[in-house]
Amino acid sequence: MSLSGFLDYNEPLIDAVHRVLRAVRGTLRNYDYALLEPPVIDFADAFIERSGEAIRERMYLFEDEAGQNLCLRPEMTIPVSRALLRTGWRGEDAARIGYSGPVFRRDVDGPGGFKQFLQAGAECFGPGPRAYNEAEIVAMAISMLQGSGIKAARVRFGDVRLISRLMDRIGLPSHARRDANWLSGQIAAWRNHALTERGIEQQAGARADLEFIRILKDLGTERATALISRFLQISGISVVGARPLEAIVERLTAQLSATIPPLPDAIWEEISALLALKAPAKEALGRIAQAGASIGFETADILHDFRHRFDVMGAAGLDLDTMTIEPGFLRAIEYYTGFVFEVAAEADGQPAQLAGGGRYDALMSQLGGGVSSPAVGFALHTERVMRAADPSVFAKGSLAHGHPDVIVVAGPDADSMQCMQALQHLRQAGFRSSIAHRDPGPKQAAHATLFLENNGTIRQRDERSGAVTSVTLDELSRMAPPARPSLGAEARGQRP
Amino acid sequence: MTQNPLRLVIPSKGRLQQPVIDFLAACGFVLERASSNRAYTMTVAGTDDVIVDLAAASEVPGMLAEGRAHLGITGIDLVNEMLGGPGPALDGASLPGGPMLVVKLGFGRANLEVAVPRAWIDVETMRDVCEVAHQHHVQNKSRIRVATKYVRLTRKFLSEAQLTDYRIVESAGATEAAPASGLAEIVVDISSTGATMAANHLKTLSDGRILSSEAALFAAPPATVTWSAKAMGALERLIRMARARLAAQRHKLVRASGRVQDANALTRELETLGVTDVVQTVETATGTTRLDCTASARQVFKLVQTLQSYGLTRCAVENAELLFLPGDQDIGAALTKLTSAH
Repeated sequence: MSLSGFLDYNEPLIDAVHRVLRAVRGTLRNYDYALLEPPVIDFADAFIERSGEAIRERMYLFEDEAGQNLCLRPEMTIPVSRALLRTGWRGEDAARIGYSGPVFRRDVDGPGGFKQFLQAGAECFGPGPRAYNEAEIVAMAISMLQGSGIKAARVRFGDVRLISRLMDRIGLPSHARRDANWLSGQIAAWRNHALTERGIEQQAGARADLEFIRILKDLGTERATALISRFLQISGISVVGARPLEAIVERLTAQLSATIPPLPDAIWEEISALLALKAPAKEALGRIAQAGASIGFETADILHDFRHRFDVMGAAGLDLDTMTIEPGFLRAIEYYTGFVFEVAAEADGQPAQLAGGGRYDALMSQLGGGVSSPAVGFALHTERVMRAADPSVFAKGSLAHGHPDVIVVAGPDADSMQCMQALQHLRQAGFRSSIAHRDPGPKQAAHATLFLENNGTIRQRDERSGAVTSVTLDELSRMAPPARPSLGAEARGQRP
Repeated sequence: MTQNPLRLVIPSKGRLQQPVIDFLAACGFVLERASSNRAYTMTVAGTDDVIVDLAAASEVPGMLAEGRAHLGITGIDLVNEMLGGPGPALDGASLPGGPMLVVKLGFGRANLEVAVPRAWIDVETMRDVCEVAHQHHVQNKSRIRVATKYVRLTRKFLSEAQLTDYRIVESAGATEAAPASGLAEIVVDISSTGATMAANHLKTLSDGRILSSEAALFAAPPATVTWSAKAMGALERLIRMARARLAAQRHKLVRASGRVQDANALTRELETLGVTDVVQTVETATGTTRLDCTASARQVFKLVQTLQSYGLTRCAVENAELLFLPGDQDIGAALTKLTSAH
């Protein structure tokens, strides 16, 4: 029985993980980011308050002995940000944090989905030149991926502000603003809604309501609130819950001003075209400027940020030809506040999103520590990176590991003392050495297979030449140890 | 093993308890304290083939899913909450591992509703709630709180209503009081008349009904329990008696007599009314026709009008305690479905 969505990490997988982690650590060191890794378990509330009830379905939840609601963390940015606050950092100076660690998503489904995976990334908090910080984050993501063996990666960019302004322009209420997945559908629905809404105002019942609201509006919030308060008192209705009556009256009267200006069909067509746009940076910037002018919303500052960021990324040596701008591309709109990006590559024949991030200036202040701070960051999905770099490491159910340099063949009757002496000689000389109860066959050891004879002699089969000779323990220790880099994993990856 | 009695679990307290006991009694299952002095077990007068366990209504679905009882009576809402989604259907199809719905019992009707303070005069629909919740989130930097004990159904409904700016506060009891005690702004709770909601200064929304519930008889998933011949016998008796009780509640018995002018025309007229189980006898000596039939309460007056117009001028309408109708003994297939593991 295997738990769907979870892996047994065998040696090839662990080697592959280490390869990604070496690239992550190398990049973090070059950019002088501090490592900070919070516990795998965290308060469930930290994620639910930030991301909403929907995330509950995505988390593994449980209680501790005191009845506190805990979870296996579904992502790292919130835990890392909270860990940073626990260090006493108040946002005066920049804090650059790197991390890697397992995260858990209960809702991941389908073949090849990972319910447990390793997330690695970097977060840059605090003051600093914005375009530099943003370009640094993109450059680090690409550096980590290149170091992990990802060659052909594509980067796409979007900007949450672009969509927000577009939604302001069409009057889409802010509560209806969500993720990219249903944005286009939402706009279509809103287009219909805007039409029917105007029809409702003509209806008799709604007219009476409007009259009532008009009177309240003319009174002004304060007097209207006093009037409604008295009215509720007469009716025997208490105001229960934390929502103040003033907010109720304000929302009621605000409905009058929230009439949606009718937009001509040509503008809706322009909006759809803008959301569908996927183009190289230069072309995209021109088309966004045009669309902004004809749809009627401000784009100059966003376009300036894009151009400046691209210039700085060019200075970082990034290949701008692999980059596109997609105005309809959004990562979680509640979370990001400015530019967003995603790095994708082919993994096992499928396009896979390997890393993503952006600017999220609102997060710190929402964590309740009384600190607010600009922030940019990204995370990469280690297992997807591994699959994109070399899908063969996911070959299942395997105890596969690298070949030993020397195998000592010793049957059940062999002299244990003689075995240990031979193997210790070899290990001290730097050979990766193992014992087998029978001859595993030629080429199973990289260097030699040894046979311990009952008379105390040792027969050696050289696995490169196939020659069989007799050797002594002393001769064994004098054999040249194999050349090996300091971290064994990579050398083991290269099979003889 | 072959003599193991049927285990039936019913609510030990709450709004369903007394109606369940009354219903069982009407079906001939009069409950008595078990002779051994155990507080949570009862027996049925005059028979040893049923043991009745008492448990909190919310525990009944779980006990059935685990096979700790053959049958259970509780609210459909509670079973749906346990399954976290679409409720069980009458044909036994439900989510795997969930209790199977045997028969709806017609009492304990209540709705699971989203309720907001009555003072929220700007809120009538779920769309208003979405806007208010979002405003609350932006202004207070915290999510609006929804108190409920139906966590899974609430989350599903609110997510379908596109509400995201909220969080659930799990409440163990007295959910309606949560806004007044400052624990939440919004409530999702069961409401039968709306009186409790109103008393707590809450109102329901035009599109905030999550589900309509009533009490029902459920069976454990077949793979989780073994059925002895004795238990099977008790099952058949309970199902048929329950159906007869429900049929009796839905129908009136109508007896009529008189001299019928045109018997064929009357028969056709009754057929168009949908009255089918008609028994007619004609006394040859007097020419008087006596007619027995059943009709829904809604139809009774129309039926009486028809019978009188054809000459059956003397009509009596009665209630039945139990009403067994033609064809209702064919429950073999239903029994097999409930009791045989696939």
